[in-house]
Amino acid sequence: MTKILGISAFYHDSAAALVVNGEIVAAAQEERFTRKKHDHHFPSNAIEFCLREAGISPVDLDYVGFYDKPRAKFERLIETYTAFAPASFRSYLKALPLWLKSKLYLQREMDRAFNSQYRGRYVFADHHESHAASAFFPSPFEEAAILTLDGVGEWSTTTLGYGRGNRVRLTHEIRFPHSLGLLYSAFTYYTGFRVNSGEYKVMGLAPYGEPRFADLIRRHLIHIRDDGSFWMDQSYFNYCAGMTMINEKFHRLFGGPPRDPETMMTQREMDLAASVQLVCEEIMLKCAHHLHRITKLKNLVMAGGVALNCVGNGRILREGPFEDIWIQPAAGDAGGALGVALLIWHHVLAYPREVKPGDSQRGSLLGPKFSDDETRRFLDEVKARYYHFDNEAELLERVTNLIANGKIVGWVQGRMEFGPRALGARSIIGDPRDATMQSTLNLKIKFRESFRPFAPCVLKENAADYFAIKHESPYMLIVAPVLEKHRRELSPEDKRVMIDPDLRKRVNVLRSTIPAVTHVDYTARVQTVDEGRHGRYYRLMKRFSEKTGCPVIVNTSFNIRGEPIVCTPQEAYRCFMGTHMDALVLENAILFKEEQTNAKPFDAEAYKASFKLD
Amino acid sequence: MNALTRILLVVFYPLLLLARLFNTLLGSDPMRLREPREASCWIVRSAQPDGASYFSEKSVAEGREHRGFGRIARGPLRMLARFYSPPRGVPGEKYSAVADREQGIPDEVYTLW
Repeated sequence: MTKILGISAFYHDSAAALVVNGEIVAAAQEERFTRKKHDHHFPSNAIEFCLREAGISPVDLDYVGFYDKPRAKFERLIETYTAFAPASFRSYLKALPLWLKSKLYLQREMDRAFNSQYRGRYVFADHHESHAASAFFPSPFEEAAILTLDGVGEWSTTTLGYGRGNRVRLTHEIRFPHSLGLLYSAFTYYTGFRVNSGEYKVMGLAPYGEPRFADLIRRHLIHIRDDGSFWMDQSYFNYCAGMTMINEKFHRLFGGPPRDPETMMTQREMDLAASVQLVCEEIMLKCAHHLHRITKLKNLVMAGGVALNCVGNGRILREGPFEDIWIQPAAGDAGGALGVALLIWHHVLAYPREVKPGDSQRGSLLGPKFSDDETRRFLDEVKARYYHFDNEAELLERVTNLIANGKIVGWVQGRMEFGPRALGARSIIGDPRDATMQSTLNLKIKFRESFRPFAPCVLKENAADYFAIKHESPYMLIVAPVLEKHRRELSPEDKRVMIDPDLRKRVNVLRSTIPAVTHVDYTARVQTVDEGRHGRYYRLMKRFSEKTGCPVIVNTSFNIRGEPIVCTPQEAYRCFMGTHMDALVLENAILFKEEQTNAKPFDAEAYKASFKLD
Repeated sequence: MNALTRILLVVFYPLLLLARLFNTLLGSDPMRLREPREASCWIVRSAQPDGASYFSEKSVAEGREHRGFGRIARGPLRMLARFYSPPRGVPGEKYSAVADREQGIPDEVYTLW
């Protein structure tokens, strides 16, 4: 048996993945263990979990792979500081100590982390090759075109290539500082959100706006060629030499300074979001068309942070030249850990690749699971009152009744998801038909005043009855329109609300039969659910569908704002107790909030305050 | 960052200024800060990694063709790094990184480093 550990670390979203004899055995992000969102530290906890899952220790590992090439990155850093000298002096002084003391000694750093127990060799893969491998190798395709879109790795920010059999090959690239990911991040910063975590908010904000700045972006910031390649005018940006994304010239171009975080959103921010989103989609589509022209392949795989832009992905699927696409669910840097592990198996060791129907990602349910016994022991310890079900049908009957009656349920089952989305293993679920579900979830559970609707899970066999989607979307990475037949015509009063400056009012307008999951532009971020991947979660939805006629439920991540998605029953219980969730399902046990009178006192305010807002 | 490190880094910075001067004089533009005239901005990745290259921290595929004069600073900086090489781990000792990012560095900039 060959045991390969992949690691991504030291930038953001550190993670580990274990591949044994070519099979993905385990993968997890470090943030889920340390409870620090996007944790960049060495993923000691994630590694420990992966090894435990396989019943091995570091000494048993045959290879350890790191998801990028430190020396190439150092080269890029120095060339950048050279190109921008002397303006780069401050950034140079801040960045170099870390390189001198740690990053230039990555092998020794990893040796120390493994307590010198790992005796094998370290493997290093190019950042974008790791992304490409994470997209192609688990995909269901024998051969596919590959598109990676990211902030930056070593030099590359965007790559084109193809995968065939057990090989991936990247043929073209765009290099730092010209980066679609960094352009999007610049607007994330400018519209008042946190970079590296707020990009999906910009995407969610875009449908409220008009892309009136798109021409300005194309004219001044990014010059786009017909083949999707682009060049960015660095005189508007500051990320190469400074400590911010953008500079005064950028502010002047768009008529003012960035929005202060947590302040009221204006139409300007909405229009900015719509504009950068449109430009992003244009580039993604043009890249897809060019890639199709040069590879002539019918399938596409994608990875890299920009591949989490599910609106763009949806457009590639609907308007692009490819018959089918597959996107790595952990498309950001975390997925690089999986990519490098698979690269070692296929490229370094040259083992053939076996293509599996569906894919080889195992529903991305690759994290820790907790047994029913462990769960019950914990619940007894905290004196929780709960009902235990030996019979699954009874459990599901009870839960579907709760959902159908408008209750909000925390749902923890089986292995935790790998990647940023909750896919039905660590989810909060509810009834999408309920007109108040969206605001209740936002204000009482997530403690945010969001302008974004929640995502729908739909039974795979019913997806085409609700959404304009022909393909499965098991990883919630495709946005699709809600079908006309489910849309509701807006009344004059609704239309008046739709121009209200308060987005919370706009998002609460009933615009379909499933209002909690329908965005203002009648789209939804769809997850298709099937029994093979999702097991009990599928059966729960099936029962809900039989009972109510609705094959859709609301699915949002099991956490509060700023908190990483829960991993353990303890964290799920804490979130349940700290919010206004009505019920919690932990494996075979159900807890009801109103019955937890014997539970130890819980400081909900301290819990909420313990997470930095994202 | 301690004072000695800061002083050493200040001492080394003129190498970057010199490299920039060479870049300017010889028209080298490794970052493509001037807009290319070509109809496409795609760069062909001519070199592909082979089996042996995966064991190296250097890349054979990335950043080879457009090297600038930053290399005159890279070597000395790597030599300087030797004085900072982290100690080997002690068996049984709980791991913590030798160095972490300094406070106040925004995520968006740190992730580029």
